[in-house]
Amino acid sequence: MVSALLQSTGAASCLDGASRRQTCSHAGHGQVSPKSWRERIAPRPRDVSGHATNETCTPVALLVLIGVLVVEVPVDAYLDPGSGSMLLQVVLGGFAAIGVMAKLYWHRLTSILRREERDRDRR
Amino acid sequence: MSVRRSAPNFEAGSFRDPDTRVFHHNGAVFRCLTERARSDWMRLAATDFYARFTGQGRLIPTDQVVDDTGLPDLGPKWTAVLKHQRIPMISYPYEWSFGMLRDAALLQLDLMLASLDEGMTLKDATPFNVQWIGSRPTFIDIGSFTAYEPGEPWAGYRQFCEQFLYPLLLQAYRNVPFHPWLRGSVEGIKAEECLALLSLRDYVRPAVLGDVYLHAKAQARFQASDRNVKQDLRVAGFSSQLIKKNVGRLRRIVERLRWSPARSTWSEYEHEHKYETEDLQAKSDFVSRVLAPRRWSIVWDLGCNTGTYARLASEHAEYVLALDVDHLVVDRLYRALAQEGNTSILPLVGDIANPSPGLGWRGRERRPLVDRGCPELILCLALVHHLVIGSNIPLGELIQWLAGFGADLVVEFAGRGDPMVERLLRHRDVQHVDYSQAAVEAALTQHFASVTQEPLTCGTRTLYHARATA
Repeated sequence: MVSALLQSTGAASCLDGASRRQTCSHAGHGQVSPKSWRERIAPRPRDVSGHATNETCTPVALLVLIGVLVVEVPVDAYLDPGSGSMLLQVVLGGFAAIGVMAKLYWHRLTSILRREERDRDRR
Repeated sequence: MSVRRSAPNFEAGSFRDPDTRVFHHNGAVFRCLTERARSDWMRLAATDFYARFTGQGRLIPTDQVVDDTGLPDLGPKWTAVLKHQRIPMISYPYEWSFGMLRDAALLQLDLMLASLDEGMTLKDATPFNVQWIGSRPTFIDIGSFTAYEPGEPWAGYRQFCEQFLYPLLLQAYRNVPFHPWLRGSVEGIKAEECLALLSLRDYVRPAVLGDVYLHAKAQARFQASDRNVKQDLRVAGFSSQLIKKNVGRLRRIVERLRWSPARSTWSEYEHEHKYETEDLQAKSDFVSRVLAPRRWSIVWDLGCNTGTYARLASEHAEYVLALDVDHLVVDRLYRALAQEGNTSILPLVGDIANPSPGLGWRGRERRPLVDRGCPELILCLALVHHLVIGSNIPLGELIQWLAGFGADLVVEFAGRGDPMVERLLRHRDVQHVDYSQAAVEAALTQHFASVTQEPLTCGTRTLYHARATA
C-alpha cells in the first residue's frame, strides 16, 4: 500500500516546523527602507542579482503580502503548499476572493503606515 | 512468559507523512497513527461523507484495530492502528489511461469538497493515494484527512496541478503522453514545464491562463520569498469558501477534458487482423479450456488490446490485469469497463519490453510492476513476435522471464510465413535465426512442467499451454 506523496521541501517543512514560529517581533520587520509607497505595495520584479527589471508586473506580482504578523501559528503541514500557489488561490477564487484580496492590500498599507509612524517617533 | 513481538514490515512508499505509516502483517494491510492522526481518524469516522464514500466503494473500507495482540511491536509513537481492505493490485498513475487519471482527479476533488463541508480537508492531492478495484477508483490514504483550520489555504493545490491537472492538460490539448513523464518524475510536471509545451492558442483554453501561466509566474515570483504567506492569508480572512470555489472550478474543467484521437497503432486491430473466423473461435475455445477447470486468483493478460480474453478470463478468475502498450486501446477498454461498473478487470498501460521499474526513495517507494502481482495464469496471445522481433528480446530470455512468475502460461506463437511476422521482418537485416517454433517449444519445455499445443488452421500460428512447475 502506498501513502501520500509530497514535495521534498514539504518534508523539510515538517522537520523544522517548530523553529519556524513567527511573531510580529520577527527580525527585520521593524526596519523601514527608503522605498516608495508604490514599490512597497507592488515591488518591481528583480533579476537574479537583485536589481529591478523593466519586466511588466503580472497580476500575481501585484499581490504583495501584508507586513504585520500578529498571530503565532506553527507551520505544521507536512506538504509545502508553495507561496505562489497559495496566493494564486486568491487570484483564481473569483468574487469570493475580493474581500481577502482587499484585506491583503489593506493590511499591507496599514503595516507600512505603522512602521513609518514608529520610525518618526524614534527620531 | 512474555512473547517478543516482531518489528513491523513497513511499506517502503508510506514514509512521507510522519503522522501515519502503512505496514503489512500476515498478508493484511494496516496503518498506524500518531496521536494527532488518531484524533483526525476519529473525526473522519464520525462524518457523513466517510460513510457515504465508503458505501460507494470510493473510499477504502477501514476498521480500527481494537485488540493489537499478535501485531508487531510498533513503539510509543503510534497510538492507534487501522486495518484496510486489501487492493488486489497496486498501480501507479504512469500506468493509467487518460480516463483513469481524469476519474482519479475527480474523486480527489469530490473528497475535497465533501470533507470541507464537514470541517475537514486533505493534506495533499496526489494520484498515488488513489487505487483501482477494477475500473472503480478508490481513495486509500485515510491518513490524508485532517481537521480544517480556519484560514488555511488548500495545501494540495500545487500538487494537484503537477500530478493531475498538467498531465491531463498536456494529453488533452497537445497529445503529449504523460506516462513517460510521470514515470521519470514522480513529483509530476512543473507549471513552467507544462507552459513550455503549450501554444498561444492554448491560452484561451480552460485552466491554461490561470492554473498554468499565472501559476508558473507566481511560483517564480515568490520562490525566494521569506514571508509566511500562509499566515498572511489567515490574517486576511482566507476561508474554506475560497477553497471550495477553486475546487469546484477545477472539477468543472477536469470533467470536460477529453482525449479521443481517431486511431492509434493498435486501436483498429480487431477489424484489421488477418484471423479467419474459425481460428478466432479455436483460439477462444483453447483459452476457455485452460481457464475452465479451476478458479484462478489473478490472471494477467499481456497485450490485451480490446480485452476480449481478459473478459473471458474474468469469468474464471477473481481478478484480471489487462495490460497493453497502446494508450488508446487501454483508454477505450477502461471507458467500457467503467460504464459496466466492472470491478474485476484492471486495465493498465504498460510495455513488457520496458516494465515499470522501482522508483522514488531507495528505488523502493514505487515498486516494479513485476513485484506487485502474483499471477496464477499469464495470457500472452499474439505478443511474442512483437517482443522478439520488434524489440529484439531473445526468445529464450522472454520465456524464462515469463516462467519466473511461477504461473501457468498460454502463448500464441506466430511462425515465419505469418503475415505479421513477415511485416515485422521486412526491413530488418538481422533475421532472428533463433525465432522458430522449435525454439519456442524447447524454451517452454525447459522452463515449464508440461506443454500442450494446438495449431490454428491458418498454418502459421500455434497455441501453447505451459503448466508451471510445482
